[in-house]
Amino acid sequence: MDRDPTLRSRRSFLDMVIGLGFTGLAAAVLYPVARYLIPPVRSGPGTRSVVLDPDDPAQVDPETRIFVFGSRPGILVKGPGGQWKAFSAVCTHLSCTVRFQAESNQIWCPCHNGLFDLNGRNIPGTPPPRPLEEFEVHEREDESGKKTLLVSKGRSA
Amino acid sequence: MRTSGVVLALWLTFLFPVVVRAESNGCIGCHIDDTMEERARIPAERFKDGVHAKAGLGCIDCHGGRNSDEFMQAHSRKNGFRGKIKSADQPEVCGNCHDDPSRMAGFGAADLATGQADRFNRSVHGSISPVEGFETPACTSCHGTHGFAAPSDESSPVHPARVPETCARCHSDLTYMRAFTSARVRVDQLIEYRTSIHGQRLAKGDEKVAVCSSCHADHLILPASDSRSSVHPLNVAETCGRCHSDPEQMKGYEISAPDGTSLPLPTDQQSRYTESVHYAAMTENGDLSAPTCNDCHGNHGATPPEVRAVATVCAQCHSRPAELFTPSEIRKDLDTAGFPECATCHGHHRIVPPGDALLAGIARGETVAGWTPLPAYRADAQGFLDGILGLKARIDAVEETVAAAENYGMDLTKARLELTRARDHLIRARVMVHAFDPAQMMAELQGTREEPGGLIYAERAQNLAELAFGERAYRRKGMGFALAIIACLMVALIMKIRRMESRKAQPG
Repeated sequence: MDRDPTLRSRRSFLDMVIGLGFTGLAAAVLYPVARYLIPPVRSGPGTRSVVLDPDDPAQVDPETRIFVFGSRPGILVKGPGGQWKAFSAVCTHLSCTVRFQAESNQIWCPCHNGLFDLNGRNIPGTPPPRPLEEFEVHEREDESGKKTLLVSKGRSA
Repeated sequence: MRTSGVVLALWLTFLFPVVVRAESNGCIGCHIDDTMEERARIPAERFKDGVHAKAGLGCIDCHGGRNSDEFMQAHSRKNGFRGKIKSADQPEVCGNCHDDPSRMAGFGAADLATGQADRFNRSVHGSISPVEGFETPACTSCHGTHGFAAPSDESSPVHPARVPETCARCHSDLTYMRAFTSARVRVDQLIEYRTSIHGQRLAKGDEKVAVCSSCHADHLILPASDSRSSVHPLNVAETCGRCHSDPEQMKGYEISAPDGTSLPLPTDQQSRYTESVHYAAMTENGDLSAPTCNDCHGNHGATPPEVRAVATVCAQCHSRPAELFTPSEIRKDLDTAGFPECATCHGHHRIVPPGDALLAGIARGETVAGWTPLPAYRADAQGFLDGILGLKARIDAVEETVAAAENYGMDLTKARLELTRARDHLIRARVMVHAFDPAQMMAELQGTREEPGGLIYAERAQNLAELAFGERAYRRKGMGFALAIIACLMVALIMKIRRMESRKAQPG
């Protein structure tokens, strides 16, 4: 029988390496499974939809009403009927970022004074040729009763 | 004596008129009589001096009936008498002759145009639905009744000198116009027209100038919203060009130059306009709100804008550049030198797309209108150009880095957002040129304490892209490390297998 101590320690080292390797492999397989099973705490700024708290200045700028929608800016305003309305904040004239203008209660582009009404329609006589792209807004309430808005790209958009 | 006096008086009263009537033209004979009431007499008086009477036509050619001295014969419906011709029937009645070239030739009027009634029927006037209490427009609304005269005759309501008033009889009457159109219909065209160069010259007796029918057509008048109309936005330039591109028509008219001298009125406006960015916006992009002649010059009140009013005219649409240009020093200098504000650099009629080349022109001391900018302005222009091109180059370079990072699968959403902001400032910097103020330009490019400029945003995007590259390097190292572990595992496994096999091979 094998009584050589160096041989025995070499064998136990080999077993240890194999054990560690398999543990690593198992972790590599189980990690994505675990990530899949645990739901994300809060969806971050996505490219198709975003969850917003309209009163949180970190999410929606209180002055310009701009929020981040993927890699592009969006704009969240209260429409003429008091309902929330969200649009792409990319001006249809030369793609500048539009903003809410409190004094005129309109959406205004600072580059060439383009104007849109609160339904996102371009005001005739100002440079933008088309209305702003509109997003869908759904109001929802979380467990604590806090109201948030789910802003998503419409099917037509 | 007494008896014969009574007989004479009776004869004069009853029989003499009959004798006179018997000797004259039936309708006219009675209607022209002093005993006739005015509404029956005046038509006859007018008719005998009109072109129709001279052409040998009689009352019955339009009114029907018989040319008889006997009242019942003359006015019998059986004989086709229709009395006053209703508006709705006029195009047909007048068209019987005026739409028939051979008939017109028969009256010795072969050179007269025909088809007026047909054109009228297809016009906005010809398709008005009747409204109770209001007479719809028809032939006589403009041409008058009975005493028809050729348009070249000063007595005609459609003589050029009288056209504006003739049209205004209805078009300046709000009550009448509202009966047929919306409550928002405008009725100030005549007032505007009188302020126009056309109207002012017409008042001085110049009959060559445009009147209503010159632009709106005469019989086939269509609303401006109809694409076939001569005043539809796509057709306005051609309509104005009919006179303004004709050197013969424009002969003798002058316009004042920046130095106060008079120049002959040019005739190349239409051809230059068709090469402009405005014309392209309208014809190629289908943007009918793009300006044509009347949007800058006015339509009824057409006049060339005064030098100092150019920016006001352009500001109707280009409000942001105007906001920056109006209070600027450069505007004051241009006004003092008598140069046409915006048009000094952008030109007029043939306005080309604006670009950095325009700024380069000013830096070289060249402008479209021939104004030579002061050296200070030239230096500013060069500074603006360098700044704008610098920001553009920086954005392009950062864009490349960001795109390269994205190519490696990195998420650069935030960098893209910063780049969008940088581009906003590039566009705003190009508009900012109109203020001609280095401090304001610097705020767009470099930024201020309150708000970062385009270069700062570009830098932020660059930093994010570099972070992404760092992340990529880190992940690569991680990947290498993982691969090394797997390789070690494989080697260890092979060694283990060999050992187990060699143990099996040993006996016992």
